[in-house]
Amino acid sequence: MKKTLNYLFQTVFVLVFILFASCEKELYEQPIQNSERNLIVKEVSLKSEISKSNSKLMEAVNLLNQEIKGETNRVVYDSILNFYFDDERGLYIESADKHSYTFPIFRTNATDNKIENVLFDQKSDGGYNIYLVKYDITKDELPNYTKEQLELLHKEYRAISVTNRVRLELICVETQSWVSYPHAEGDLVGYSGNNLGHWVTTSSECGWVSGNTGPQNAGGGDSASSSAGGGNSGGGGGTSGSGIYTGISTLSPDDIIIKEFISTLTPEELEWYRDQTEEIKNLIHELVLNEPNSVGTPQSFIKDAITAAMQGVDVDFNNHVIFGITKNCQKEIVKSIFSISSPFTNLIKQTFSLNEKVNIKIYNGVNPGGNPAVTSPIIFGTSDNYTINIKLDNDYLDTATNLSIVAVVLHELVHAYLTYLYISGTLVATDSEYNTLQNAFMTFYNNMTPDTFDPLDNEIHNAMDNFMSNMANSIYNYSAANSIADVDVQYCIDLAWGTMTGTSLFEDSLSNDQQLISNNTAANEQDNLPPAKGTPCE
Amino acid sequence: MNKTIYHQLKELLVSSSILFLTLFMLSFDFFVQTENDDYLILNKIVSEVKNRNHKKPIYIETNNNNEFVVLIIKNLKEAQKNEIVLDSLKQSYNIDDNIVFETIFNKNEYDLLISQKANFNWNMKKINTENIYLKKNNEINLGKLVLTVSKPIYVKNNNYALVYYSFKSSSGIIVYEKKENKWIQFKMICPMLIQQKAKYIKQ
Repeated sequence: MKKTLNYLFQTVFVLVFILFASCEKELYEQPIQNSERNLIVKEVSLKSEISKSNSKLMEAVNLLNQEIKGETNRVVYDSILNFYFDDERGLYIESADKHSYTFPIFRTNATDNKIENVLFDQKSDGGYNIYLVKYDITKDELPNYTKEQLELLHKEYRAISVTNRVRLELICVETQSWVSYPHAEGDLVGYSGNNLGHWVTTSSECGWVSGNTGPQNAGGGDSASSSAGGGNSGGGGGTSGSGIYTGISTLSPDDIIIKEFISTLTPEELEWYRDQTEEIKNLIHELVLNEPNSVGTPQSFIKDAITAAMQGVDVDFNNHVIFGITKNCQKEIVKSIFSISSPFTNLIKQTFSLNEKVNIKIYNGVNPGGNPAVTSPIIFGTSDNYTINIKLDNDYLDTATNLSIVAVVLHELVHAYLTYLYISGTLVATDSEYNTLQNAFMTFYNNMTPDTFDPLDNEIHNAMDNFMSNMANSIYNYSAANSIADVDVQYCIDLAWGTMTGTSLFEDSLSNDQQLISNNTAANEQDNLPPAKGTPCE
Repeated sequence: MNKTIYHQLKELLVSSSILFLTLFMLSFDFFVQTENDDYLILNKIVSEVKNRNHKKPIYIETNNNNEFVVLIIKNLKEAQKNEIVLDSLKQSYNIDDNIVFETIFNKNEYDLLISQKANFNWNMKKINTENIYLKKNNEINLGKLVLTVSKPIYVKNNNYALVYYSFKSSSGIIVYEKKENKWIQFKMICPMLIQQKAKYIKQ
């Protein structure tokens, strides 16, 4: 009896073991099968030479672009085709006998955030069927799906044939599978995501609906693709190499903003943009993301900066400065101010390079009365992102020494800094004595007339009292770095004060003798008269 | 036949002369009218500056060069070719959307505005505010409060005027509107904080 029980127990154990073993096999059967498909997955750009040399692909892309732009005989506005696709960040998937290209789509008028892709699926004649694929998940939800969940995810999705001009709905029951990376040959583009592999949709069962005839070889199995109507009359589906292979290709919200920005560029601007290094492109992207609301508007700093850069103007994308000075030697002097190491210049660099809202444009032109420099208090752009414009006079730049240019620009940078403090709402927090200046700014921006501008002029120059020694220190450090002889601290103090000629602070703070010395020091450097210590540009 | 031609030529000459005289009278009238307005506006600015700085003497720049105002109009006229550049320029000048600016800054006005470029001296006898002095050209102005006012330029209907204004370190273009025969400040465009040119003073 005991032997019988023992035998029975062993039999049950073996049966249970077999049962569990078979369940385990069933659970992991699919990925094994998928890995056996031997797919090659690469990231791809349609801008690459390899893609461009694929004439059939380019033909299909052009056809799609015509559809998107409404250049074909589209009778009514087509909300489905109203999209952009990122042709530089696609997925190339190759099976034994065919391949496909998948690109992420973005819509400016999207009603939901569901992932959408455009798919170019190779036909037997080498051409491509074009499908729009919409997934019932959002980009945000995608990371919540585990590899196993996606493996088991069976969803219906709709594909639309653009190629045949007739909307055919291809109903597919698709399977997600994980394909290992990398296959780093050919036209790989930088992959910003997980580098271990990529989700690939293998459409195993598909059928054309709506009573239309589908294109040849579309769908999961060849037999299904040619069947007219008939709902989900799935084909043989799923055998290696014969299905539609596509990957989930997504754009982040940031990607979308950048793509929208790129879509606002003129062909010339686009060409310029594509020629830039990745470092510059990344800086541009940062700037675009900092001012998403003004993307494409003429007032946006980035648009202004690109226009300037295209005209050969130096743009410091890192420090948010456009050096729009057309005189090379003088421009280099102004640029060098941003590399002076001193408390004030460091403060300026920190303010404008780290701050996402404010930019500076320094350029040259004709100033009224031939005055050396002017700063416009107009907020050029929006309060979210604006540029402070500083203009240096052409005639002044022709005669001024490097020391004068440095002093004059430092003076204007103080204006820019104080304006930034006001607009950013940190003026009084920075110094409680700026309360009067804050009121002057507020009154002026509410009603711009001489009645409000004169008090602002007084207050902004009075506030500069705190900056005079720091300006002098920056001038001194510049002259030391450039080995300018005979420049002592007092000379730099006189020069800094010389830029204040004509202001109330100048008259109120300095004795008559000091005024004379400061004025003449500034005049000598400004007009390169002896005993100027700086050197003018030739 | 010859008599007919003679009569036709005579008629043409007479009508041309009338047209010429009419145009001359109109332009003369415009000139006289605007000259009166020039001093109305100048006196208004002078008295306002004086009110804001009542304790100190004010020096007026003799020359009323309006080159800067004309330059701004020229820039706007040039920018008409490119809408994006024009929008950008208008924002940098503080020219926003309003009916006054739409009347002034449009292609139908630019040529007349530009044609009013002037560069002569103000007549001090026509300034009616006390304690105002004339600053001679190239005079050193260390410690002096110097006011610069350009000759105004006017739109066709003479209801709006543009004047360059500079006092101490603030400057810009004031837009004036004529209401019931009085010039009223409408808004300031192109405001600028100016860093003044230093002039060497012999010790």
